[in-house]
Parts: sequence; C-alpha cells; structure tokens
Amino acid sequence: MNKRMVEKNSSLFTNINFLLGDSIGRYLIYLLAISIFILPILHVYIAEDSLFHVSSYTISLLGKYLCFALLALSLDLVWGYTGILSLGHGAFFGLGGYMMGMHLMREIGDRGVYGNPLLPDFMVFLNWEELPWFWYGFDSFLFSCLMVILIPGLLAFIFSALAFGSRVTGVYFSIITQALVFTLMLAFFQNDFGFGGNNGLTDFKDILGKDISSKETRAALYICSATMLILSYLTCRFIVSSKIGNILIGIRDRETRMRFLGYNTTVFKIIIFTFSAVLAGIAGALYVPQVGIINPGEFSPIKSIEIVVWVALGGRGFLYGAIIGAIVVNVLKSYLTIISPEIWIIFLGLVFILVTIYLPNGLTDLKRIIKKNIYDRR
Amino acid sequence: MAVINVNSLLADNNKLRDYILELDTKDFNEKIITIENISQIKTDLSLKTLKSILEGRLFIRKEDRKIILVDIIKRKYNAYDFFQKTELGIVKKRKLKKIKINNQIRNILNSKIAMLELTSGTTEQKIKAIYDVIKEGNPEILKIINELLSKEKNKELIFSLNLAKNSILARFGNQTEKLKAIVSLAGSTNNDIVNILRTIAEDKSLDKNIKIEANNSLQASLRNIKLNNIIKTTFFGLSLGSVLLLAAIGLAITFGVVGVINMAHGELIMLGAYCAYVVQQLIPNNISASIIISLPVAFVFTGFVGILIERLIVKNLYGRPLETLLATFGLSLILQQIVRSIFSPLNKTVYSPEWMSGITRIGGLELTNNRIVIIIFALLIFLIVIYILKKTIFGMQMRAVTQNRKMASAMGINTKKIDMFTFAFGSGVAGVAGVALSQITNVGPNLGQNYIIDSFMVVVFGGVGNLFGTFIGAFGLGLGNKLLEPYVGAIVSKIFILLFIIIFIQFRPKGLFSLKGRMADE
Repeated sequence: MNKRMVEKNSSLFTNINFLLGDSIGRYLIYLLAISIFILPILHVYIAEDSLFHVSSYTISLLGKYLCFALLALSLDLVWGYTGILSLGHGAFFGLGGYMMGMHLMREIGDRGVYGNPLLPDFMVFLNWEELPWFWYGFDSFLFSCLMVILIPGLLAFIFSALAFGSRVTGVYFSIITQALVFTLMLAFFQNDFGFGGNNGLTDFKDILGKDISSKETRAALYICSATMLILSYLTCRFIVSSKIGNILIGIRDRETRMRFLGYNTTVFKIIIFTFSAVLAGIAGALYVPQVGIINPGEFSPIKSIEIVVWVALGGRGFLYGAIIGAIVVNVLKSYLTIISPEIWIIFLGLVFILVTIYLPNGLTDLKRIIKKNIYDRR
Repeated sequence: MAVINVNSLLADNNKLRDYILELDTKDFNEKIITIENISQIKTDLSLKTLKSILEGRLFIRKEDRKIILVDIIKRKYNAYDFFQKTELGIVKKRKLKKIKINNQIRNILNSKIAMLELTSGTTEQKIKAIYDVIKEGNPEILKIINELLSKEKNKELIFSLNLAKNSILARFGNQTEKLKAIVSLAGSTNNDIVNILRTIAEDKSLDKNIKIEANNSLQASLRNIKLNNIIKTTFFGLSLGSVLLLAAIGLAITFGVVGVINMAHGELIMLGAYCAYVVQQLIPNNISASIIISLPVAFVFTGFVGILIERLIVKNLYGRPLETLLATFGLSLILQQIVRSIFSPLNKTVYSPEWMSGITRIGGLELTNNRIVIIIFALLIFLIVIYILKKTIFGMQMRAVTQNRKMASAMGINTKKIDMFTFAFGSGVAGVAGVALSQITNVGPNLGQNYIIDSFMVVVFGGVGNLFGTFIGAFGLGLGNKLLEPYVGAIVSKIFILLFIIIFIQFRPKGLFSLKGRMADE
C-alpha cells in the first residue's frame, strides 16, 4: 500500500520503473530491449563465417519464441490473474495467424505454382472460379492488421459474453474452450471452408513488398516481435497493477464475494478475456511470417494445452513468469525433439504433473525455496 | 462316402474334359448340345468352364490337347492348367486354339450360368445370383425360376425368387401378368426394381392401367426406401450413441462423484482396448473366449491404474479442479507414450468373434452384428452401473458423497476411501468400454484422444452427477450427429454438434439434468 502511494506521486521515470515490475521482470525487459539493437545487427551486418554472426535460422527461431512468449503472456492475464483457465487460446493465436497468412497469400499474386493472378494456388486446385467474399480486403496490409485484432477479439467477446453471461465457470469453461478450438480445427481442416484445408496457407513470397526470407525482413520481424512483447508486457503490468488488476485478482480468489461487493464481475471478465485474445491474435500474426506457414494443426487441443504448460512452468500470476516459461519450454522442446520426440512427450507430461503438485507457482517457487534455504542456514 | 465323392468328382472332371474337347468344332449346333451337357454337370468347375468360355479365356493347347485357362495381361497370354490349376507361364497365341462362340451361344451361356448359380452354392451366393438376375432381366430365366420356386423351402430364397420372377414378368409378361407382377412389386426397396418400375411408369407405349399401377408401386417403394433410410440412420445414431455412452459412463462416475476432471480417461479406455489385444495374443485360438476373458481383465487392470492415479496425483490436488485437469492431462501424454513405446505406434487389430461379425437382414435393411452387440453391451453396462449405484451399499455411499460430502462424512462414511474406490470403479468401466471399442475401431495409442472431447461433451450436456443425463446425452448427441450427417457431411455435422453444445451450455450451464438438493459446494 505504502509503495503504491510513492508511485503515484513520483515522476514518469519511476512510473515506468514501477511498470517493469520486480527485479526479474525488469532484467528480462532490459535484456529484450538490448536484443532488439544487437541481434539484428549481428544478423545483417556481420559476415556469415564470423563467430558473432546470428544465422537466419537462429533469429527466426528466437522470433518464434518471442511470439510464444507473447501468447503465454496473454494466457497469464486470464489464468494467472483472473483465474479463468482457457484451454483454447490456440484458437485466437491461430486465427490471428490465419488473418496474416491470408494477406501474405494475396501478396503472392501471380507467382504461385499455377500463376493465377486472382486466386491462391489451393483455390485453383479446387477449381474455384472466384475469390470467396471473406477473402476480400486482405490485399491491404492495414485491413489485414485490423482483422488480426478484430477477428480473435470478436470471437473472444461473443464467446466470453455468452459464457460468462450465463456464469459458466471453472472446469466447464475450460472444457468448452477446448471444444471451441477443436471445432475450429475440424472446420479449418475442411477443404471447402476456404482456408487451404489440410495444408493451410504457405509458400509466402513477400511481406510489404520485401522478400520474406531476406535478412533484413527477418531482422525487422524480430524487432517487431520483441517490441510488441515489451509493449504488451508493459500494458499488462499497467493493467494488473492498476485498480482493475486488484479486481481481477479478487475475481480469481473469490468471485462471489466480489459480486456481493457490487462489482459486475462478468464485464471485467469479458473485457480481460477479449483483450487477452487480441494479444494472442497479434502473437499469431507475428508468428506466421517467421515460420512461413499456418495450418489447422495450430488449432489442435494439445497445442493450446501446451501454452498452459508454459505459463504453469514459468509461474502464473507474474507475467514475466509466462515469458520465461514459454522460452524455457520451447528451447527444451527444440533440443529434446532433436534427441528423441519420445523423451519430449514424457518430459512434457512430467512437467505437467510435477509442476502442478509441487510447484504451484512454477519456477518462481524455486526462487522462494532457494531464498528460504539461505535464510534458514543463516 | 468320402471315397465315392472323390471318385464321382474325378468322373465329373473326366466327363467335363471330354465335353470341352468336343467343343472344338465348327458346327455351332453341336456346340449348343455340348454346352447343355456341361451344364448338366453341376459342379463349381462346370460353372467356371461356362464362365471362361463366355469371357473368351478357355483354350485348347494344340500339341497335347490340354485345356488351358488364360489371363490376358497386356496382350500376353498367361496360361494356367484348367484342371490342375498350375501355372504354365506365358504361352504364344498360335500354339493355342480358342473355343469360339456366337451370339446365340452367348445367350445360352448366360442363362445356363444363371441357372447354375441359382442352384448351387450357399444361400448367400444364391441370393446374390438372384439379384443379378433381376438386374439383367433375361426372360429365358423365368422357366428356371419357376422350377426352383416349386422346390425351394428356404423362406429367404422364396422371397427373393418371387421378386425376381415378378421383376421379369413386369417387363416381359402379357397384360394381366404385367399388372399382377407390378402390384406385387410394390414396396420393394431393391434399387433395380425401383428402376424397373420407374421405366415402366414412364414408358409411353404401355397401357394406361399398367402405368398407373407402376406409379403406385413405385411410390410405395420410394416410401419404403425412405423409411428404411430413417431406420438405418437411427440405427447408426444409436450405435454412435452407445459408443459415446460407453466412453462417457466412466467419466460421468469420476466427474460426478469425485468432482474431478480426469483428462487421462481416454487413455484408460485405450488401456482397456490394449488389454483385449494382449489377452487375444495369449489365447490366439479362441477369439470368443479371449474377448469375454478380457472384460474382467480390463476392468481390474484399468481399475488398478485408476487407484494409482488417485493415490499419486488426484489425492494431492483435491479442491483444485483446474490443477487436476492439467496434471491428469500430463499423465495422459505419458500413458500414450508408454503404450507407443511398448506396442509401437502402429494400430493393432483385435479380431472379432464369429457372433459379432456378419450382417443381420431385416427386410431390405442390413445391420452389422458388431454394432448391434455394442448397443446391447452398452445398455447392459449402463444397467449394471445403475444397479451398483442404486442397490449396493457402496453405491449408496457414493451417492451420499456426491450429494453432500460434509454431511456424508458426518454420518460416518469414509469419504476418502469412497473417492478412491469410485475413481477405481469409473476407471474400470472405462477399461471395459475400451474392450468394446476394440471391436469397432483400430486399437492404437491415440484411441482415447478421439473420445475424450466427445465424452466430456456428453457428460457436460447431460448434466454432471446424473447418469440418466449421461444416457440421454450420449444417445441424443449420437442421433443428432447421424441425423445431420446425410445433409451436411460427417465433419460438418460434428462441428454443428459441438457448436450446439457450446451454445447449450450458455443457457443451461449445469446440463440437461442438474443435481437437485443441498449441494455442499455451489
């Protein structure tokens, strides 16, 4: 309480410092900010045979991790702070990705395999005569960006308004979010649904007129991802450290009491869920140009549950925990799947069980345990 | 007896050989007589002879007058010995002499083949032959059919023969015969007969009365076909519903009583299916016994796994449902991987006993036996579970804990113990369901995954803690899914059902049937 009073009276600089959160979060953001300046330079300007050169594989991989971190951040906002466990955040991530993918498909123009100037390859393959109406407008980058925000946001708004409006909570909500993402997966796997079916959208050529696989583009995408992550982190910090944040935590800990105190908890839940979905959508949109493909696999229920693991391992309700969790788990995934995919699955399963039973706050518990041990020794 | 049989068979074959050699003549009248003779020998081989002559595949080797059957592949003559069935390799065309036929002989051959097929073989083969007759519509065969009808005693065959007779009379009989035949064809669901009726009804050269009758009969048939389709769809719906019921019933027990979401439930089903596979590997000679033995084996094994899950994971997380969900999900990944490592990721086949394979015919309907057995089995399991819940002490204690945990505890029920046994019971039922599912799908490590979301939907739709809700939910969703399927396709109908449940939950968050009474916690 005392700390907050100080914050309110202090200058802009200390305000930002406050937003950065406690020491771990602060260092994490500093690290990210530094990487924005250093990594792209190492990637673009250092000769490829140099020790300090960052390969395009590495920078895309790191960019991918940052997108996952943003996705985890969005989930932490609803799960860690508001106590809503969404097993379907992949839905919003995937939708954002598809919106960006559609724009990139349009940018291919007549350079596809079939050379059709009007239709993407998969539509030519399906003998479609004209572009479906829902593809209109995606020629424009700005329109696509708008859709990246609008479509996941709208879906989340309608879905959560219905669910929270009729007080669907707890495990029920988790299960229907899983049903939602499963439904989307089935739908997007359909060829005649108009999004490329099984193969999804791929073979992208350009983004904003620049070659998508060039060094500069990759560097720029990395900068975008890192910047977006920092901005989102600060925004989330702002939300959770404001009065709204306290209400959200109140909802998490005892929703009925909050309702009796006169708060319309439904509205807060809808707003935070929608905001979180928008963040997830943006993460998806940044992810697609860096990996070069989006397919219905992103909607598979297990992917959505993996997001939960990132947050659970990193520690929920800390924001930076989600970022750390996403990066740690994905780095491990990259290494373990190379050694053996079997080990990776067993590892993932064990993390689920051990973290939920022994580390309810994820890796942040380790910090506490270590600290406690040190104090005990003294 | 056996010796005589072999002898007569040999004699038949010798006669057949002589007749075939006699066919090597230019006089077609002589050929007709020989073919008549061949058709008098009523063996499989004589039927094969006539068929191969018709297909132009029967030859005589010039050098030793051996009878040879030829497969013509890319203009090469791949020869077999007709009687010994040994392969003779590729033979040059000029070394062989073909048995030639003309149009007249072709017709005779067709009717002789039809007659042989109608009179020999199993009932199943005969029925197939009769339906071929209906399709071909050869008036020559009418005589044979009449002859057969006078002797036949099998009801199924008499029915099909009458159908064939009328289908021929309707086209080739005189005025009164036509009328009578058309009237008696009314309501038949056979596709060919519907086509015959339709052509007659649309034929302008025919008498008006006949056309009207044909139209009436056609409408009756179309009505019946529609009815059949409805029954068939209902059957498929019930079948899917029973599968859903089997998959969901264990979940309904653990979720309803213990209040715990077990994401590894699908994997327990999968383990049950693998129990069936393992038992079958141990008793490979008696498939019936292996399936029946694997039921208790699966129940005990998965029940034991259930106890382990409860003791090692779920117990630590009571009161934290979201964490339980995650931990059991992790467990499901591990179980899948273990099974994948032990049994390989490939699907395994669990063979069905005889009484589960095959088809049951009711009128024009064909229902597969394994689906019928599964429906009955699901109902049986459901009744047993209901009995245990309602009539045993264990069941009573279980219900007490479901309704009010604290009160039950105050009345001296060891709720922890009940939780454990309930979990084991639910898991055991999942294992038994797995054995049943092994009979209709492939057994693989991902078997459970395919059912977990569906079974959750059933439980949530039906209302948690209410087995009748689960029952209604399973059959409701099964029927709904299959009723939609003809209109929108399998996957879209599944999407519709999922959307329906998502929307339904908004309006009735507690499902169709929610528990009434004083619940301890919300």
